Amino acid sequence: MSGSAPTTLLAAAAALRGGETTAAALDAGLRDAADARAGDLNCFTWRAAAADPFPGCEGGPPAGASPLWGLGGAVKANICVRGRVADCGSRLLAGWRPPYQATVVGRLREAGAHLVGATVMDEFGMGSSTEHAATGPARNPHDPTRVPGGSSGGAAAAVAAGLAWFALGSDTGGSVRQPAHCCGVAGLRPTYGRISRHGLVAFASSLDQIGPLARTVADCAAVYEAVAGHDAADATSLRAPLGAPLDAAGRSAAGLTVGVPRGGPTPADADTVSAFEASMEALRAAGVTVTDIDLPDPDIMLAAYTVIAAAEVSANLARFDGAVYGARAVGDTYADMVARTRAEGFGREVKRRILLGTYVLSAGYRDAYYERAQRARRRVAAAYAAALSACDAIATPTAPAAAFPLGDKLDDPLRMYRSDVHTVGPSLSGLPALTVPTGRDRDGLPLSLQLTGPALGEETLFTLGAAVEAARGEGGGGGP
Amino acid sequence: MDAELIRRLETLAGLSCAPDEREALSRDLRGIVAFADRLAAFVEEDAPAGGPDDPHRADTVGVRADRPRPSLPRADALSGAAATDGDHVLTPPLRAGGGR
Amino acid sequence: MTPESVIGLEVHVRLRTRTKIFCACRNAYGAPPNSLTCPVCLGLPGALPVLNKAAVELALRLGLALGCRVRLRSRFARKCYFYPDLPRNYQITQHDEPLCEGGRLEIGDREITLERIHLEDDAGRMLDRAADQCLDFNRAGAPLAEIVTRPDLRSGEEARLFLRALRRLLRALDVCDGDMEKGSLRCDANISLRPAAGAKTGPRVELKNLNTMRGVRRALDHEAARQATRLAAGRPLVPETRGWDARRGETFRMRLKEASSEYRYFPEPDLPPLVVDEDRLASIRRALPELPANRERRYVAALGLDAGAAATLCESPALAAYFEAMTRALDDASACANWVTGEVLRICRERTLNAAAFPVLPGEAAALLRRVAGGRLSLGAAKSVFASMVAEGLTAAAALARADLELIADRGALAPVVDRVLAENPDQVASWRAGKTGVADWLIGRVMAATGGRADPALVAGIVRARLADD
Repeated sequence: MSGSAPTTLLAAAAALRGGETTAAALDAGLRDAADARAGDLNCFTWRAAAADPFPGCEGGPPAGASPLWGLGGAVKANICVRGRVADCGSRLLAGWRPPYQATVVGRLREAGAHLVGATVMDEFGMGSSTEHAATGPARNPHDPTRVPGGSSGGAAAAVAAGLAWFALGSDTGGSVRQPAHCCGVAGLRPTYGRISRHGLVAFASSLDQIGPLARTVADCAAVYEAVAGHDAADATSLRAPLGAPLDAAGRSAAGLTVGVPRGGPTPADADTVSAFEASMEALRAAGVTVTDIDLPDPDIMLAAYTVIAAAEVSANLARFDGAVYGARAVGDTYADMVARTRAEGFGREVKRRILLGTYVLSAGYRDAYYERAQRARRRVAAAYAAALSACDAIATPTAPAAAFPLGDKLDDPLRMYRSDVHTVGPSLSGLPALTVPTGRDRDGLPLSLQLTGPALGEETLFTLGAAVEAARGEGGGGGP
Repeated sequence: MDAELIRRLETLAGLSCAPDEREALSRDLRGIVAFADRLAAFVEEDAPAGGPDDPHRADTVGVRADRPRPSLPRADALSGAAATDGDHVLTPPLRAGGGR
Repeated sequence: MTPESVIGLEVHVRLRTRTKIFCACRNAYGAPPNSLTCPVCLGLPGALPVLNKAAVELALRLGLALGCRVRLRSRFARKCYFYPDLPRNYQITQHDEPLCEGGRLEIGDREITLERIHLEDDAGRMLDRAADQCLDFNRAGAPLAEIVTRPDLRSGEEARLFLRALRRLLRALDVCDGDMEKGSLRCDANISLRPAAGAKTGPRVELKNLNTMRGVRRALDHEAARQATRLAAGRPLVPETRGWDARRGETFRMRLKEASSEYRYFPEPDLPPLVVDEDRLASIRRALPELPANRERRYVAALGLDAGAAATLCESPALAAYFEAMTRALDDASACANWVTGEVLRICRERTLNAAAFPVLPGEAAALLRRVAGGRLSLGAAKSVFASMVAEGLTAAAALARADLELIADRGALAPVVDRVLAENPDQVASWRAGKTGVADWLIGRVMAATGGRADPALVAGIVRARLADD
């Protein structure tokens, strides 16, 4: 990218408003970047063709238009766009085109944005590296031998590489935040129910949320503002008003309090720890008080999350039997068709989770696993609420280390699950959490901070996140 | 967590795995379930069951009025199906050779 | 001794809402296949259920009328199994926390207690063809209330009576048309035998494919006999599911029941808990119409109708309403009841009409009957006048005037006819004088014939006897 070209969504929006550029020119820039890098990164499942028009983008943005007006973004391949392939990273849904559209896609269009493509993901959202994608892994723009994180790895890579101004991913146990961390971009998991799930192919229904990924915290806030809010088509969506998230990203953080786990940011490698401590120093310098709080044992949170997510996904994925949609395998009987379709269409990780979920719900094991995990979940939520009574937001690392090499964690599922050890707590508690890039490790790979807020506390997260960015000089959204 | 249990789970889950895949899965699951056993240490028996019940969630309305909206055109509804007769989705019969 | 049948029913009631339970597709019968579907009821990836308020209303109305305890906070659950007619391969139902618990329904002098009533979504329909199965998802997502009885029923006939009483109530509440043929009322039955008083019941057999009320009775009777025969012969019974073959009049094995069906129920995360407002509940309770059983009792106790007439009138709220409207215009409950259970019901059946759409207003029917009560019209004549009122939409007065069938009750008009008949029959008059008083009736008959049956019989009798006595 050339020096004077905008590198953030908000800068691009300002350039459009100021007449310095046009939507078509910006789109051409995205397209050129994608032509150069998308193949290597393997971050898109489909890309909008050059000839695809984006409606209403002649001239400049009308007064009062959303900052997203005229700008191109990407959606993860599990978000339904009518007539476009939503393969969810799975062979089973290869080529499937939903006959309807996700609510968030409609809201993006209402804001004047258009889609540049859909992004590669771990199959049905299960994974932390985007290596479980049926069409092959996506790669980290900072280092193509490393994973971009998962399951929204393609989305994070596209944003980090400047192939889209923003992306919508989905986060169940960390699938927006952890890839944002790996690729050095901002990523938000909203309060459960804040962003409609209508049109998001479900992984674990009580944990899934769509979340924005963008270069900066303020960019994230702008996307959040455009898509969040009540949707009658989602019975779990909240009616509380959004407030002013974008404004919050510009407010001073002085006077706020951040809580950090009393025992330190563990588990975390040395570089993660020092980056974390540097961020706390930066916050103190910005007038934020840092205090100690207690969080539950990360292993317990991970165990509860693993059990509950598996239970819900075993039911959510039961619908994939090849009857009404999906790649159907030949069978003499209905049961045959079902078993073969799923055997051939699902990858190993998905099968693991379905079997685990079936196990934890079946008679004889249910009390020891599913019921216990639900009780643990309530305790975790209560513990977070207690911690948040002593601070405005909780700070932890997003992940124990920077992006790992491709293939590094494929041999042992538990090692892969541990990538999410810091992110599952907010998911279990239904709380909003924001990943903010904070710097690089010794190998030049991005590191980040995770801020977790109280329910409906997105504004606080944007304020604090922007402060972390500003203090560390990350406001320009440095890309690879 | 042995191959026999996995086979039973497969039937419930509509899956059918090759024997070596089943072995691998049973190994994986043993490890994951052993990890999940940590829950036993943490949770007291009299803690309340069920998912989170946060006050802000009372905000969800979650019901709708009884007003019809247009259904999908049949062509759209059937558009993803591997086999149809134009009106219905077709699948193999429940029992080989037809009939129930 | 004959073993005792221990029978419970699971009845699925398709609620009379405009839209399906979790989506806004129309809840209608008979539409072209797969024309009433959407991402939600098709189970497309990414689509979410949203509960229909009206389904809750109707289920509450039903639950309150059956005397259930309503849970102010109930939950939906996923019941997981694979079947072609199940779009998501799980049903959204209620398991641990159903909407209603308890309740009861009377059949005659017995009270059948209920276990629970809960809401759930219906599956699509499967049609077998030679080589494959056809799936139509129009019905998928239709709102169902499942009523589970306790095993209080003791015979196929009781089961049939239960269904009849339930159907009557469903219609009175306007919750469902209760039509088993159409499938808006479906019934599965569970039957086991208790070999001797105080003994444990044997294995439970579930019966399916019970498509008519008669079929329910026949299937249960047949199954009870089958089980008793096996028991007597010392052959074992197993828990199983059997279908009813109405043509051959026998049950057949469909599948054995495993120790427990593994449905892996868990709370439905896509739907928040169903919270019922106390005030709303109270207002639904207040708005309940008079229940058919109560109305039937009232007709017998307060209006003096016989049990049979009361039962017939209470079969349909429209018929009862017609009857009550008639009694407001004519203070003779019995006469009105006879008329409604006779002429009105007969004409309704002949013309497949609902009493609410009957072409003669109750007031006009009452006016006609008033003429009969006042002795100016015979019942037979009234029926043919009524027929013309029905056929041509005439009022009672207009029809009567047209038919000119009013009884001749004018002395002045009748006296000359009497005189003429007496003059024409001197032998009979002489017989009467000689003491054969019975001849008077024959003479009265001649006068009636002479007037074409239109004279007031009592008046004629009076005039004839008076004339005979005079001479």
